[in-house]
Amino acid sequence: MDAVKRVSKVMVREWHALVSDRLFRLLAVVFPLAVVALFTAMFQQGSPENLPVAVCDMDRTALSRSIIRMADASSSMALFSVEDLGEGRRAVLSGRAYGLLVLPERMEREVLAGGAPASRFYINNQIMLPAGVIKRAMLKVFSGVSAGVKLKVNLAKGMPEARARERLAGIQVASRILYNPNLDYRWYLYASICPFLMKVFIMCATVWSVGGEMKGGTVHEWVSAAEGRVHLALFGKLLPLTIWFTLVCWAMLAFFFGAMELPRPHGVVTLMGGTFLFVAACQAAALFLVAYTGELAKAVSMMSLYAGSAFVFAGVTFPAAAMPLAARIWHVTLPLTHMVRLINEQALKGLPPEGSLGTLGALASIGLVCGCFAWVRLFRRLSAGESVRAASGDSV
Amino acid sequence: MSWFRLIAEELTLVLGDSATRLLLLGSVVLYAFFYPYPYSPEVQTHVPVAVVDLDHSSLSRQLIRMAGAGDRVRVARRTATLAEAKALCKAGEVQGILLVPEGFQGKALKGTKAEVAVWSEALSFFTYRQVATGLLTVARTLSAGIEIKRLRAAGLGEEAAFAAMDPLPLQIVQVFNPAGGYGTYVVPLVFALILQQTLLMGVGMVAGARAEAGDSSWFSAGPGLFGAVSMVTAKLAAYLLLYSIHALAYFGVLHRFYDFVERGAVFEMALMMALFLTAVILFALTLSVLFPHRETSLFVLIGTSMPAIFLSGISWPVEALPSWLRAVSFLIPSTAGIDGFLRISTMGAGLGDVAGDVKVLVGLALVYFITATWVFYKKGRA
Repeated sequence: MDAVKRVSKVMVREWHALVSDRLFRLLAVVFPLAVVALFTAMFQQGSPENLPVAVCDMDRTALSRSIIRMADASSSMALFSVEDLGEGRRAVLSGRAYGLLVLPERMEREVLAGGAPASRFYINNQIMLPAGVIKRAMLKVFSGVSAGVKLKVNLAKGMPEARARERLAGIQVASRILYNPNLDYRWYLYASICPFLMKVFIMCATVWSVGGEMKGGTVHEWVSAAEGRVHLALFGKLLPLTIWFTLVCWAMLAFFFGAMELPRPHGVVTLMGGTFLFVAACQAAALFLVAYTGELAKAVSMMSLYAGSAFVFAGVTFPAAAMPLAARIWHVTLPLTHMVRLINEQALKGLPPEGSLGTLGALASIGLVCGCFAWVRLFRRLSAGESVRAASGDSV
Repeated sequence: MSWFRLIAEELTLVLGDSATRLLLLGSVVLYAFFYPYPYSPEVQTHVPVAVVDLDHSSLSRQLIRMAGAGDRVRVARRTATLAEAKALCKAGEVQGILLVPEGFQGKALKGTKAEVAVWSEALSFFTYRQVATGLLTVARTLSAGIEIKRLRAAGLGEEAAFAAMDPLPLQIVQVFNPAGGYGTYVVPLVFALILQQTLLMGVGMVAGARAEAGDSSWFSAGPGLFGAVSMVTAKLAAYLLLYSIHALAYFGVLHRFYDFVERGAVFEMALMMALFLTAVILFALTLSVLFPHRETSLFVLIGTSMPAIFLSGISWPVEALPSWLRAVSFLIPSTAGIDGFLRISTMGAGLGDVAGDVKVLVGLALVYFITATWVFYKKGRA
C-alpha cells in the first residue's frame, strides 16, 4: 500500500509539471497532436491526383486528340499543351509538369498504313513518387489505345470479333496487388510516418522529464516525493507518460482504421498490446540515453540522431532488405521498425495474433534491454545524489 | 566594437562550446555519411518470389527461367499450390508470386487467351515496383516473342510484325535519374534539409545557452537600432561563412564522392544556396528568442524535419496538399529553397526556371531580416 502511495505522490508531481512547464506540455500534448493533424491534412488524397503533365502534340489528328483525352481522363494526371519541345522542357524543369508526352508527326497516318510510330514520355524521375504514378497511368492509357487500334485492324481484316479480341494479347497477365490493392499512400506512408512522429515525441518527453530534473537540480525533491525510494520515484515518473502515450497511440490507430480506411485487424488486442510495448520501448531507449550521457544537451543530441533517423532506417521507403549489413543491424534495434511491421502484419496482412509473436518479442526485448541497463545506471546516479553533480556541471 | 570582430566572436562562441560545436560542425559531418549509407545500393535487386507451375510445360519452364534471369526478382521458392505460396508471402519469406495455370502452353501456342497470374506485395512500394515490373516484363517479353513468331509465320515482315503487335508503342524516358536510384533522389534532398535543420537548432542552442547564462549582450552590439542591425548582419555573415563551407562540402565534394550528377551551373547553384542559407539564418535568428535554455531548440525543432521534407514538394507532390497548407509552407525557407536548389543542381534548371522560388526566398530574407532586427532590438534593450 505504501508503494502505491509513494508512486501516486510522484505522479501527482508529474501532473503539476505538465500544467506548469510549457516545454513539457508542448512535447507531450501539443506537438504530437499538431504534427499528426498536419500529416492528416497532407494525406487527404490516398494517391496523388491530377498531377500536371505537358503534352506536345505534333500530330493534331483525331487519334492524337483521343490519346490526350484519355490520358486527361485518368484521375492521376491533368494534361496541358505546350507548343514545342523547348516549352515542354522548361515546364518540366520549372516544376509546372512532372512529365512531357510527345506525340510524333504523322502518327495517325502511319498507324493507318500499318506502321508503329513511337510516342515518347519524358518523366522527371528525380521526383520519384509522382514519376511512378504518372508512368503507371500513361502506360495504361497507351496499352488501352494500342489494343483498340489492334482490334480495329484485325476486324477490318475480316477476323471474327471474338477471335480478334482473343488475339489482343498473346499472354495476358492478371496482376494483383497484395495487402494494399489500391496502392493507397495513406496505408503505406501515413501509417508509418505517424508512429515515427510518436516515437520522436515519446522520446523527447521522456528525456526532458527525467533529464530536466537532473539539469534543474530538482532530483532531491523528486526522490523525496517517493520518500527516498529511487525505484518508485522512477516508476512514478515514467508511468504517466507510458499511459498517456499509449492512449494517444491507440487513438491514432482508431483514426487509421476509421478516417484513413486502413483494413481493420481481426482482433485488436495484439495491436493494442504491441502499441503499449512500442511506447515502453521508446521510453526505455530515451531513458538509456539520459542514463549514459552526462548532460541534457548531449542526451537530446543523441536522441535526435537515434529517433530522427528512425524513419530512414526502419526501411519504410527504401527497404531494409536492400540496405548494407550495418544499416540492417541498426534497423533491428529501432522500436519503429517493429511497430511498422506490427501494423503491416496485423492490419494489412491480417495475420492471427501468433503470427506477430516475433515482432512483439522484438519490441519487448528492446524495452527490456535498454530499460534494464538504463534503470541500473540511473538508480546509481540518483542514489548518489545526482542533484549536487548536476548543479556543478551546469555552469557552462 | 568593429563589425568584423563581432563575426569572429560569434564563430569563437559557436566552435568553442562542445555542444554547439557538435551540432553545427560535428553532426553536419556525421550526417554526410550516416544518412546516405543505407541508400548506398541505390536499388533493390533480386527480390525473392515464389513460383507455382501448374502447367509443367517447356513454355512454363522457359517463363520461370526468364523470371529468374533478370536482376529485379529471383525465384526463391517453388510451391505446388497457390495457398502455399500465399502462406510464404504472409510469413514474409517472399514478396511476390508467379502462377502459371494448367493448359498455359497449349493456349499460348494456339493463340487463344493464355493467362498467367502475378501477385506483388505492396507493403513497400519500392519493392512492389521491382516485383510487379520484373514479372510483368518477363510475361510480356515471352508473349511478344510468341506473337511475333506467329505474325511472321502468317507472312508479315519483321517490322510489320512488330507494328502489328503493338501499333502504338510508348517509349518511357526517365530523365535526371534514369536508373531510378533511391539515393540519387533522396540524398541531395536530405543534405539540403540538414543544412536548414542544424542551423535552426544550432543558432537556437547558442541563443539558449546565452539566455540561460543571463547574458543579453549576445543580442546587442550597441545602443539602438544600429546596434541590432550590426549584430544581425554580423551573425548572418558568421553563419553564412560557416555554412558556405558545409554547402560546398555537401554539394561540391560529397556529390562527387557519391557519384551524383551535378547538372547546374556553378554560379547559379552558389547564388541559390547563398539565398537559401541567408533566409534560413535570418529565420533562425528570429526564432532564437524563443529558446530560454540550450536544449530547448532541439526539443522544439526535432519534429519539424519530416514535415519540412514533405512540404518541399520533392517527395510528396504539392498538388496533393490543401491550398492553405501550400501557402503556409512557404514561410519555411526549405520549401522554396530545396525545390529551387535541387532543380538547379540535380536537374540543370536555370535561375529563370526557378524564378518563383527565387522571389519567395528574397521575400523571406527581407521579412526575416526585419523580424530578426526587431527581435534583437527589443532583446538588446531589455
